[in-house]
Amino acid sequence: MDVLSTLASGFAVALTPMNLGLVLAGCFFGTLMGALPGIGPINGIAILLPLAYSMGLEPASAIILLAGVYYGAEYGGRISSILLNVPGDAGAIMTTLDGHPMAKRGEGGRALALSAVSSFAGSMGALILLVIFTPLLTRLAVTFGPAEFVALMVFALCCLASMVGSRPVKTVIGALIGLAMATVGVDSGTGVLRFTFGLTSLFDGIDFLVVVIGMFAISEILLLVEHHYGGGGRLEKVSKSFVKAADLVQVRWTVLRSTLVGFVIGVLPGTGASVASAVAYGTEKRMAGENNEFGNGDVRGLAAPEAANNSAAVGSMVPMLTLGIPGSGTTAILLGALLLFDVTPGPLLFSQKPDIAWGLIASMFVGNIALLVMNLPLVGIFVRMLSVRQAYLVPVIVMLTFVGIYSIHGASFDLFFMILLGVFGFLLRKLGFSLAPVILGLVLGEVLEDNLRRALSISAGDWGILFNNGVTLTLWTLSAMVLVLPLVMKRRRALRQKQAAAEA
Amino acid sequence: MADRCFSLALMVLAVALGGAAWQLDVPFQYEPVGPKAIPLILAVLLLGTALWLAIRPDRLKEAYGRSLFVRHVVVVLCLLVYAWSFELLGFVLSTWLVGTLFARLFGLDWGRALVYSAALGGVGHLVMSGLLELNVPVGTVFGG
Repeated sequence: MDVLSTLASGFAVALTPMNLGLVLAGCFFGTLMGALPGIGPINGIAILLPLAYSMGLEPASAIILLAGVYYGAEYGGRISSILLNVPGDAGAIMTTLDGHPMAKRGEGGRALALSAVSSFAGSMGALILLVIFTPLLTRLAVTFGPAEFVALMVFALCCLASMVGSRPVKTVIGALIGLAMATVGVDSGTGVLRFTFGLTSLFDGIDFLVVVIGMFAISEILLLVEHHYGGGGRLEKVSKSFVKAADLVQVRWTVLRSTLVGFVIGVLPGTGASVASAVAYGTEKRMAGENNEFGNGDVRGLAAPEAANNSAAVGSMVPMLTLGIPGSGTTAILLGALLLFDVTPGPLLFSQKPDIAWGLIASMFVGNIALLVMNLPLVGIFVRMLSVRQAYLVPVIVMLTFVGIYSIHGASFDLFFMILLGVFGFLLRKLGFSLAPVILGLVLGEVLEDNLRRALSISAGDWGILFNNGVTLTLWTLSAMVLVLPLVMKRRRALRQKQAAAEA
Repeated sequence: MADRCFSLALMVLAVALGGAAWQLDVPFQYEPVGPKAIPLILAVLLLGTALWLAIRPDRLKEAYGRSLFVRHVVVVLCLLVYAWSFELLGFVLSTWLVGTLFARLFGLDWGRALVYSAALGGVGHLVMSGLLELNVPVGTVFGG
């Protein structure tokens, strides 16, 4: 009952004309960003974040807008996956497998409508789970002290290392680079300047916005040059076909299972929509047995990743809001956005700033309904947007990034630094590094150091404080398991393959 | 090879980070962990992981041709010109100039690129400065 009344107060925040307009704008802009190949939710938020900051929006309004972009982009990612066979973002990769074959055989409309309904169901199911589990997790997190938070952050970083990207070592290096960036500036404990090279612009540390825009948006422009000269995909026509009741009946359990899978994976720190959609797809394919058309346009193969990636997007909000630990690269940016607005996510957020926490959750209900309404009749507009030439798009992106960064401090230094970070981000992406760990390291760096120093101050320098109770020991054990288990399983798989080859 | 070069650079960075952190001294501090502990830990971890990457690098499949390198250099130069001219020429002129270059680079002809970028500068100024009230430079050459 208590949850319902606080949720009702959240709706009062979300349904003010200003916030409602921002939800709709965020969802529309997000769908567009998600639909455009290569841009995706992270870049969408990265481009809008400095604008939202400079426009002086209230923290609740700004986060409602940015979250709208996030789940809007998760919706939009499927459009180019289905019609172009090019995923709008990493979370939509699995959607190409069955969505594009459907579009090729003239069922583009059916695929788009079914994926929209699956996305809606995934998001709504995950939102209900979020409303149920968030207060429980918050109650647990309130008991956390600095030592528990250190162990939790190490767990988040370990999850990241074992689950993001193909090479764990590259993920760790990315996180270390982010953590190192977080040490730049005046040390809050002693007032000492660290790694500022005498540049006054770095005294306050490396600006989060400059890093996000540089690494994501600027490096994306460099990648777009490659795509442009490498040739793009062919746009499939959207047929008049539409989702049938029989389709919905056929995918009902698939959507339910994938929503649960997506939510659980989304809640785990470090994982995200891409992992969730891959796991949900694999699960459904296995469960379908022999009787399936997976890979050739099976409706279950389309519904599963769509429900899962939208569910994961919502699930990744849970650790961000309750623990202050981002569940994915995109929520790391949202976490940074909250910190920019002087809002500290964590267990106290729900008691100290309920308007922001519950306003955001309520706005997600509103946004998802808006997205479904938007995506069914307006899909033609988004499809037409796919055929906008990059020659028109790129100058707009460049302009938005420059205005966004310049309007924060009014300093050219930030623009040059953003370009430098953009080139560095591009280099990392070309070398197969994921940028999400860098952002996660940057966001968690200061909090991790603060908590570690606070914990060691309490214990007068005794490192044993980090291992002295059940919660910390459990988290350290889980961290070790998360790191070791994939290696053991990989070795066992290799051994089994070797044995099978020898027997053959 | 690319991974090995990068890991070498990372190792140099890790040593520099560790060296700089070692010299961070404070006359007095109220806590057992000073400002140097975390950077030192990070430097050691970075050195170790970079070494691991150097020993077991990835085999990168993507080819990176000279023509692509030239195009990327052009993009970076355009961005640097934009950053340099943003305050000097102001938002409208610099957007016109650099927008034209980007539109050309992505395949628009000169005429359309010029018209589109002029419109982008003009409309962008109205929206950013007028509607959203953002800090958009007028240009020092115009006394801004």
